[in-house]
Amino acid sequence: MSASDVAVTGLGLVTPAGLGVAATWEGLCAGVPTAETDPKLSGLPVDFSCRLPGFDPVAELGRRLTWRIDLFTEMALVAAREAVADAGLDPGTWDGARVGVVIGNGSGGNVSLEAEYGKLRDNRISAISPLTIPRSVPNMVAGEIAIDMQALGPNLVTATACASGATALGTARDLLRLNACDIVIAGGSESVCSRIASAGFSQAGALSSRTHDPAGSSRPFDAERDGFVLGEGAGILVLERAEHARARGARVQAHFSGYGATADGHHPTAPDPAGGGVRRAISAALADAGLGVADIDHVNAHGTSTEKNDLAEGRVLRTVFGSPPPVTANKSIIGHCIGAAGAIEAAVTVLTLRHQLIPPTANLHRLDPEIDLDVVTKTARPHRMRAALSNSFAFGGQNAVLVFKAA
Amino acid sequence: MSTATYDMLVTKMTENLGVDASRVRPDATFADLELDSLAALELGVILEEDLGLTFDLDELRREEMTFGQFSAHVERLLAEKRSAAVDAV
Repeated sequence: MSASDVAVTGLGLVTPAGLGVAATWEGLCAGVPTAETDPKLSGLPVDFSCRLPGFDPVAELGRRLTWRIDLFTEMALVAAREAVADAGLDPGTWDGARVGVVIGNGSGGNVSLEAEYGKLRDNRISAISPLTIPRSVPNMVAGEIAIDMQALGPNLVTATACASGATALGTARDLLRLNACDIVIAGGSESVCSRIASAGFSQAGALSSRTHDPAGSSRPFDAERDGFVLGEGAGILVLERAEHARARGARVQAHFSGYGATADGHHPTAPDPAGGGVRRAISAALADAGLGVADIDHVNAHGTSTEKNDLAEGRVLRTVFGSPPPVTANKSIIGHCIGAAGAIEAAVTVLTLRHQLIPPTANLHRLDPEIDLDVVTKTARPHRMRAALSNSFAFGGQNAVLVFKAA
Repeated sequence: MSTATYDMLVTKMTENLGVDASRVRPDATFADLELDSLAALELGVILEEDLGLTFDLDELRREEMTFGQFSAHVERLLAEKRSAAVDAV
């Protein structure tokens, strides 16, 4: 471990595969897709999504808190509390000034905004909640975590759409390397299963329209894939300066060793088919970690199940690795949780290294003949892993690649 | 103090604003109930929406107002609204 390494000491997850780290890991390893018909999206061209199983924010947080916040903040608070407890930290006693919060988010409180916009359309201006803005601005998720835990260091939200959660982790890592804080509560959160998001993404041609078979709709790398599926959730990692973690005798779950961030500079929504931006991000992350391609034993792919992403990602991995290590795509099970996706998948990558077990990619029945990858399918695969990559790419052309090393 | 209006307001306070029901007493001020100005405004909007009442927002921001006084104020507004409806007939 080098002095610049950052330790992952806590994890928190709220995902369609399960509430909590243990339930999510179990769900992912079981390989059962969570996409199903979503009554909220009834009547729309795409009326299914991956939603949380029985999430009860009032029971988790109390009405005193939930009345003023949107779902994306509720999920993040629940995941942050789990991660901090998992790290063996006590917000009641820590030096809050040395604790930062960096959370990725794509679309803020679009669920709340949608409801308030209905009142505006009906000209019921006085009925619009005074909480409309505080509930829906994306940065409120980091602000509410600061209030909840008295985390009083640097506090911000990153917005790189589908890569936001990974960008947040990389940014948090930089704050720790700069010694701006000792601990960062970092990750992503997104509540995007709204009518406007479903309609907007489907009009853009990004969503699977497999309405006759929601469970089979998210199928990364499969020849019959036709788009991604909306998901919602939060993933939080407690990141710590390695020496801080060592000094307090914390259990290190993995080392966060490398981060590479680039832009395609190519197209608003389509990936660069030549994959230049992604290639540079992987190279930068590996160089940052002081590792070569031969040291990487697993890739947690962005793997959205769109035709273009999976093709481009498959090609880039071939180019960079020659013979890429085993790959998996968690979005096949939990859908695309947009701003939370990169953080959820980073947490899953940490769990993958810890358990030396790769969760499967669901719905992969026939690999796209143009994609030459060893994708883990059907059942979880035990595999010896020293280090792994977690890829995230965004609408907008932002790429964020993270490198984790086994503890 | 228990009237239909008072009980309805207790429900709004506990269900919508998360105030602990055991703390809602007639002599508790908004400050006692830890209702900040944003919470008071939210309560006003909820009551406007549900009861069709219009509040003076500055009135709602008065932290020393007790819950009992607030309940009486709402009752007065409801009575005025009823008599206005009768006048209109």
